[in-house]
Amino acid sequence: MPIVPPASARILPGYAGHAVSIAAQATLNPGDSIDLPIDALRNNYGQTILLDSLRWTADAQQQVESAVPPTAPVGLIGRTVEVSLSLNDKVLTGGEVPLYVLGRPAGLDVESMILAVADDTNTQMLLGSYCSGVWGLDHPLQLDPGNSLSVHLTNHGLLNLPILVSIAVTGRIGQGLPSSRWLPYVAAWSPPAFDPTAPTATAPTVVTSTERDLVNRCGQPLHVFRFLGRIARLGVVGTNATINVENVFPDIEEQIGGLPFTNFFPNAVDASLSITMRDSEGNDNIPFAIPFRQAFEPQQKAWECPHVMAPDAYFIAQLSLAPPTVFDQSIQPSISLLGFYEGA
Amino acid sequence: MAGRYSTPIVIGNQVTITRGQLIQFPSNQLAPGVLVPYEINSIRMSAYPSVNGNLDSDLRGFLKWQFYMGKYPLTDSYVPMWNLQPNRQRMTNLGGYYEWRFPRPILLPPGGRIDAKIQLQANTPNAQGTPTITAALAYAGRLRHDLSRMPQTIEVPFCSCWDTTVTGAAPGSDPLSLRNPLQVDVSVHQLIGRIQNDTTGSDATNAVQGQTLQIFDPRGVAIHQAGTIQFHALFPTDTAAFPYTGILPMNTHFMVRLDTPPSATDRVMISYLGSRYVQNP
Repeated sequence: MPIVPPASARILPGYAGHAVSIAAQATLNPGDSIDLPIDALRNNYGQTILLDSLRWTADAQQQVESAVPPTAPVGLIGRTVEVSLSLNDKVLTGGEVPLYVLGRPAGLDVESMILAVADDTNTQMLLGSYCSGVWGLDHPLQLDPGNSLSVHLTNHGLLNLPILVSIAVTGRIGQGLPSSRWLPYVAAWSPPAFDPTAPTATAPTVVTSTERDLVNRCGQPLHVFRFLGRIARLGVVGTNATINVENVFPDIEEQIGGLPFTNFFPNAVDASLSITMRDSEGNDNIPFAIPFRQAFEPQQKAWECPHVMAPDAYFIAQLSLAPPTVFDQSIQPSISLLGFYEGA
Repeated sequence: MAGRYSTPIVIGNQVTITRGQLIQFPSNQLAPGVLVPYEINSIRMSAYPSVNGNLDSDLRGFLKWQFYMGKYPLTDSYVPMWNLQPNRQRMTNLGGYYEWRFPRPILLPPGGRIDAKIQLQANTPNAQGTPTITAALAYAGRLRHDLSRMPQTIEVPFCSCWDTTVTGAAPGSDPLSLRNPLQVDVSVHQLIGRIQNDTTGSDATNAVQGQTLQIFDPRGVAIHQAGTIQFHALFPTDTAAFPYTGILPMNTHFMVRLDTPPSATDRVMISYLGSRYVQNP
């Protein structure tokens, strides 16, 4: 059993417990779908832990060689890896959800990074990709001694590279901690990727979620804090950069220049993709089609909307891609709802 | 289960507009389709060229908005888009997204709505050769199924702006700018200061941002009592905001005095954000 370290003088008076972190990682090849070992994120400390965040990284740089660039587009890899989480018999995710819809991006400019390696014929280099994020829990999650988080990971292969995924939970441990009955919950909807070259003005691409996507599976009233809306864009080709179907997104000049504007609002995809939404109680939550980023504001990719959702209630979202004034080869939206319920 | 919980909503619409035009958003799409009280906690505005779709930074001071809720205005005439919020994140502002977040939500009665008009300044640079601008508007809030009755009074935000293009090249604001034209006192919580290069649409140069000014509150007291102060010292470029808090009584105004008259190129825009209580409409 690990030894709990003595109290640190760096912890302010009034804050109980010691800081603690538990981490696990796995390498997933494209198409892999695995369970992490059950003891990977187990509380072996013999004392209660109050978790306040879940942190993740997805790193696809390890296998990249500059002489052998990948043949598939390189994109935002927070989308390509999906995770499902549970604690004992309590669900924390409604099925598998993309990693990057677990929490608001703490800093968009550092959320994802591209490994730059010079190409022989093209000064633009487009190789591996790295992405990370923090799911800051609005209420602490209590992890009792011997309990463990069950984690299932899937690499959907949007990126034709092995991806090293790390999951870590952080919190406080000690004798004097209060108890918490709150459990976090995330449900997500990721429709098939749009191909913006296919739709026309008269026949836009339209996708609609089902009753099984943005649903409260907790069995309890769910206190929803926010929705998140993300768009992964793959294979961007444009007029401002050398035409290259393998062009990463965002392109490397923008990353280095500190202004990765094509990654964010309002390049045409955010504006051309519109959304409507309704719920299972008959409310039109977004009655008229509005641009995607009007619902999920671009700074936090979030729609802050505290409210309570009844057990088994759901939202139905509909996305429409208008005329393809965009340059992308493929666009993959994801929408999630995040909240808490009293489960313990 | 209907009626038990409040429900999130986002309502909005988008229009296209050309230079020198004034457009009203369709009213029927700026309110929920059900007759229940609802609250709005932010107004989201964005604008981008309709054709090219690329980054455009030229609209923030040129595209001006007017909001009103029946007989209760939210803005004093038209206010430039970027004067309705402090700087938050550079990339989203450059991208043309602005959000007026209210300190507390507006509670609207069943059937109530906030109407909106926009105008695009006639001398707006023709950004990237595109002929029209798409402007999108959305209100984010909640349907209040859970509210059995409306309160007697509701809080309504308000913004007034001194735009040197509108008021001419005078070095000081006039009593009709940065004023309280309402019949109630306004509780001010923020001043926003911007300077735009009207030729390029970009931020003014550091030298221009360094021009000195003084702002006097409604009682005539200088906000910076040690004398004039550089514009970007009062309105730092990372926020463009000065956290002024105080009451602006009715029929009073702030007064701005620039030490050098604003040039035809570099346009100074200063606004205040506040709110007041009104009778439930």
